[in-house]
Amino acid sequence: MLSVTIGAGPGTTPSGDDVIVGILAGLHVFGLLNEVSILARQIVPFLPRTTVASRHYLKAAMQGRFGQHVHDLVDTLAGDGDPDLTLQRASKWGATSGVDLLVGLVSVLAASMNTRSVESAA
Amino acid sequence: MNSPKTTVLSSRVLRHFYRDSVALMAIASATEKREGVIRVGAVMATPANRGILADSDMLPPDLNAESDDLVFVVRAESEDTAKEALDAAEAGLTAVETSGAIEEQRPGTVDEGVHAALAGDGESPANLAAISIAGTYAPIVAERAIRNGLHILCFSDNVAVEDEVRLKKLAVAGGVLFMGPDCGTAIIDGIPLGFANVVKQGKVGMVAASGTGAQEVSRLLDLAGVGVSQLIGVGGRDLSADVGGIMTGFALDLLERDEGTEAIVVVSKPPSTDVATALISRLEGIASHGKPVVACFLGMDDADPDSVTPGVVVRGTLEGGAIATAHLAGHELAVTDLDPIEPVPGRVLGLFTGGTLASEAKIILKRAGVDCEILDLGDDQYTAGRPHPMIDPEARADKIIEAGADSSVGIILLDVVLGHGASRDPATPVAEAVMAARSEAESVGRRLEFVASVCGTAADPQGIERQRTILRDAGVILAATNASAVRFVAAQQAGAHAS
Repeated sequence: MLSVTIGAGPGTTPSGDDVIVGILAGLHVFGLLNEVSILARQIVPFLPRTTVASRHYLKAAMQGRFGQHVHDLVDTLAGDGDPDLTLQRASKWGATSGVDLLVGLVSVLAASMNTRSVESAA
Repeated sequence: MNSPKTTVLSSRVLRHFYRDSVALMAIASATEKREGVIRVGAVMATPANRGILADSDMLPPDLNAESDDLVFVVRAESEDTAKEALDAAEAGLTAVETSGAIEEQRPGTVDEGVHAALAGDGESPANLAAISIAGTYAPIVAERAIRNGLHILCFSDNVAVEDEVRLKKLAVAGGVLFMGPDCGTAIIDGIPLGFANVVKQGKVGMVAASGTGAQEVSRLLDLAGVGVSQLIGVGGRDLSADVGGIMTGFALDLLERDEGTEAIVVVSKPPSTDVATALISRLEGIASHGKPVVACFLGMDDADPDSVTPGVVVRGTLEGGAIATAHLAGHELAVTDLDPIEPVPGRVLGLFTGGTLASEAKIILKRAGVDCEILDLGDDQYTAGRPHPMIDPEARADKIIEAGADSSVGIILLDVVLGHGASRDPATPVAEAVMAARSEAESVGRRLEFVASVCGTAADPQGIERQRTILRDAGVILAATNASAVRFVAAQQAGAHAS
């Protein structure tokens, strides 16, 4: 999956990379550090396949360092969770970057909720 | 439509080239619209993107590019068309970097940038920093630049008002301008910064808290034969109670002392009450020392010097401000209104790209008692994730087409803003959308009229006559000024209600 995602899409930080940064941010928020390091190990071999700028963002994200806009997005999601406001904030960052990040973040959120509902049903 | 049997695929690689993806998308979409161009791709040449290009049959077989190279691919009907499209795209991509004879510095940090600017080439070090980064970080950069004696043009918005006040005080103490935040228009020593029309150099000094307001006044002065000495932007909040007109006051000090300035016009929304009193008495002081002053405060009642405000002419519209200023400079600006046409049933919808032009329209229509919906499409709620409609006119084109299907709308007001920073051809997307909307309306037997003004000068890069012709050919009714276009609409509505 990573081979077709890293470096894919428009922009200096290609969309695929933004989604992955979003996923890493989501994993960090939930404290899933084991999952972070598993994912990070898989990302490393593909780093040369993207732009210098994006590689920098990915490396920082693997170490748990994110831009202020990522923190803002997490805060908005975690706050009153108004979906319109969240989407509005996300779409202000770059041409597609903010929304791509949000896709990554929300996918972790969704996966986590699925897991939990299975756990509570069991 | 015939689709040609054979097509060609051409590409161009820009080595180690980055361009903001908003700009990239705008250029790609413009290129794709060219006659004979079928498809365009503009991506960083990463392996994944090369895969995507290959999947859509857009990967040049001999592509020699790395992940940090930008590749621009065009599929077109002929070799020549493809080459022309690539040339145009490359010109568009590199235009910002090579315009003028100024060598671009590429500093890695703010400090490096400030040092490089101050070092200059030994003869004329830079004395102004233009700041266009996320608003949260702009104050840090601005402060360093101010402390190093640089004037600031702060294009960034979302700067906290406390930071604005602090930085403006710091700038005044250091004897430099802080233009902004959210300042898109200035002309300093004849050099346009941001969005600005190409106007004559002359004797009128302008202080402006609004971008398109400053553009409309300066281009109307130009039309009247009056040039501008300096156009100092101060940011939209400068005359609010919070900021207290700090930068307006400082700009007035500079213009009062400036030998090249013989008359002054201040363009703004009406100042807050506390600020207004002090400002008007300041303006009266300047006028009494021999430099006549026009206060163009949108929505305020007109007043002449012998009544409420001795020495200061107050005008409540941009057009009124320009006429009064031209008059003070010894020139007359005659605006001829359009003859009325047969009244159009349906409501008035304004689709503006210029915020202050939208405000002027609202004010005039409100005074005329006309119900209307006036949208400023440059407002944050419409620009999320896409460029300002003055840069990318497509967003407005969509709105125009939507209005074609809205049976309640009878007349649509538009502005077309030219000059530096604006789209290279704002008229064409408007004209295409107007024709589509009109044919949609007419297909159900509805009449739909379009009225516009072009905010531009004869010297603007887009070519004002060409732009006007494109609009006129699409059946757009063209007025000389934004205010005149609005008056025409108001008269139509009065006629429509009377009949």
